[in-house]
Amino acid sequence: MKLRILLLVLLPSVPAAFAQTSPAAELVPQSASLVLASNSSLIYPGLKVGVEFPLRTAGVTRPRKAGAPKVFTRALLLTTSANWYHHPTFHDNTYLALGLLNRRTTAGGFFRETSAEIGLSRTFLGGTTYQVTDEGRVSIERAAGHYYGVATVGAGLGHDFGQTGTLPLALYSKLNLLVLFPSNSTLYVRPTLEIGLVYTPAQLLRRKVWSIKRG
Amino acid sequence: MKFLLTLLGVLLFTACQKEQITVNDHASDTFYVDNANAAMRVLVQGNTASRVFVLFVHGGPGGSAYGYSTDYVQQHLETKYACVYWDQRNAGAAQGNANVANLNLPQMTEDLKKVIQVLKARYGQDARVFLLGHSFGGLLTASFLTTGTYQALVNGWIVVDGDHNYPLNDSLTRNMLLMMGQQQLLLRNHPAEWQPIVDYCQAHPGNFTFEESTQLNTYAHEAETYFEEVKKVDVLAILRQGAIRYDVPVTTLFLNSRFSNNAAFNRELAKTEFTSVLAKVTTPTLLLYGKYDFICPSGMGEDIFNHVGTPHKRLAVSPISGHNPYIQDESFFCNEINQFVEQYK
Repeated sequence: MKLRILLLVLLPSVPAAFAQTSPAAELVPQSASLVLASNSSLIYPGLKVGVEFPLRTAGVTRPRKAGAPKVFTRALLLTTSANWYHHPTFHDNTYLALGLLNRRTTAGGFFRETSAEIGLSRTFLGGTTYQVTDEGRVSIERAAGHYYGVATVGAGLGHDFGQTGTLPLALYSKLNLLVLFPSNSTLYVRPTLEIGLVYTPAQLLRRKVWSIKRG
Repeated sequence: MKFLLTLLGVLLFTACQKEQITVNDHASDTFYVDNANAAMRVLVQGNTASRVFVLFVHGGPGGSAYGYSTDYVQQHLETKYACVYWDQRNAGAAQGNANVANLNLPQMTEDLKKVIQVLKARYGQDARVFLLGHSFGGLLTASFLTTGTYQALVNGWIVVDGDHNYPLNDSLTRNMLLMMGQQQLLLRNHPAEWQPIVDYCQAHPGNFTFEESTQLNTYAHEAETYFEEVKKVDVLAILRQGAIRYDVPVTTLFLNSRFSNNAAFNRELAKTEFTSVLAKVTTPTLLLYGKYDFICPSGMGEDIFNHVGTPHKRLAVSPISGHNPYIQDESFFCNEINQFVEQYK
């Protein structure tokens, strides 16, 4: 039931704009991007490394009543990431996530994005962990921790330097809400803040992607 | 993937590090006790060299022990003894997966036993342990002391505004709300607040349902705030001292509390009483209550005093405290505990 509720929350982040293919669509080779970011929550450090695979892009030109038309790009990306944060005396959490990211970039390179991911987490408790048998024998449990399901939703802002120049780099910041489940038969909720870089080399896992022109 | 494997390797390595056991007058050791699908966090803080451990058994169910480590407690208890702050299953910083099936009083009693066994394994079998049960912790410690030979593991029982008998508690709360409420109405103190409480108590004289018991508890929480002489409990200060100082995530504190408060086992607790078996308790007993505690009125302490099997017992009532004397009458709280522990350690 909880999973169903989560899916209902996550699915709307896939933009309706990609629901149908325009007749003007063409296949264009595009490279994947590498992501490296700090993934902290308040004072607790964390790290994220990931890969973004473009699934579909749309160049949109929207006329205005006055002045030049509004031009921007929409991209739908498949994201994969490995994440970790350290919360002393509570736990270290490592998790793998897979999701979708919707990024809208202006002609000037500024972008805003929303994302949703699901994945698997393994925590490591933040202290020596003991087990006691019914006979009272005490032993230390190695690598004590738990497996959880993970879901995140996030929204962020950034600037793509490759849009206006030749530097294939983007700088971004994104606020996420991380949910672990089931945690103590309920949910564990944690806000995290990503600040990081997206690097798009010319030839990384290059593949043809549908590109649509609208306007 | 390589990154993740490296990271996992580092974490596994650090997770296998030798345990840290500090024996001095300013220890601060955190460890976990893993039992029946719950990993419960324990903080041992203060003077572990004393070999005396005051184990805080928090209220709720679903509260957290970290809020008891106030600045005053740190200065007046932790300097003399080690204070042990244990977060019960599905509470505070405890962690686990789908474990609601294990959320019940017998299981929590076993958890408490195992926490004490781990304490003794870490700090020596000669460690002297004093159980301090606050509110719901009164019920849990009463369960522990009356189970088998468990009380042989401890040197003393301290009950702080504790509840060992839910049905009796409901009756005492209702009578106190009614009596004090009528007095306050005559004095025209907070009449708008007291009138519905008095009306409710008059309409519900006894044989309380779970919902009536819950409503009485809600009124009891409100009632002590209508007396100027009772220090208000600053929830933000408790969060600052309990959650933030000790790295307890505020979200887990809130979600665990909410879950445990609403869990089905509360209906079982509502019928639970230990008065009839308190004669088994031969452990020295200290009973601390607040004059203005409507949640667990001092009559609860009188009931324990009259039924425990030990002649070594004392009941003290703070004239200015409500349900939380460790905040509302700090000197009373620490002085009484110090005298008791010194006598029976």
